Amino acid sequence: MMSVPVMADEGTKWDWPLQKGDGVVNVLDDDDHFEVGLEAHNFLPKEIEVKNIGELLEIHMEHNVKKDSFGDVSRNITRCYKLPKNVDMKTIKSNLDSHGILHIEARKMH
Amino acid sequence: MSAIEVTADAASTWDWPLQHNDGVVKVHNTKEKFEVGLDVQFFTPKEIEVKVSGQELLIHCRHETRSDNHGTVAREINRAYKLPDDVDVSTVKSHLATRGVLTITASKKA
Repeated sequence: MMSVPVMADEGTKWDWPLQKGDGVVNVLDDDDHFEVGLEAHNFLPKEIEVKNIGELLEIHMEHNVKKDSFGDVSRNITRCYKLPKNVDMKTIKSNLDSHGILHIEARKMH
Repeated sequence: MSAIEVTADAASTWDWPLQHNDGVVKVHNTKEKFEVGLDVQFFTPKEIEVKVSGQELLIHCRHETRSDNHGTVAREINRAYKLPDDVDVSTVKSHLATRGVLTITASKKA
């Protein structure tokens, strides 16, 4: 087996994934409502697991090896978010839209 | 801990990740050269490993848990491709561009 070095432009600052929001498409946090939109465009609904553990929200997306026209690919992504304190945990819902955005929303307690 | 069901539009055909070529940006295969471009937009050069094993190309992308403004994220993606039989595997090179495309090129056997 042979390793192939990954070349890159030396002058480049490689913090650009974070500059792009790192896959977070939108965040809404107002008095009544909390919503986050996450890129999940390589995953099917059944490959996504959303849990809340106390005030933490955990999102796990995984697909095992699948074949495309070119070869095999597998992916594993884990996200964790601290929900705002006044989120009503019982109202958390998640929905994957047909553009591959996972929307997680909840109402606030008054 | 409570699990949150991921709902989705029942009418959607959930083969759309494959319809989008599943992260393969381009493939050129001519008599002189083979080239593939892969979307690796959340990884820095040091988080990407490219190897050749026989005629198989292996790409491993992984970043540890990192924090953004919203929470934490960790990712791991593995790809495996069979190179065309006429590729000279000793000429395989890889380059990561700042827009997050990993381009892998190789010459063909004479």
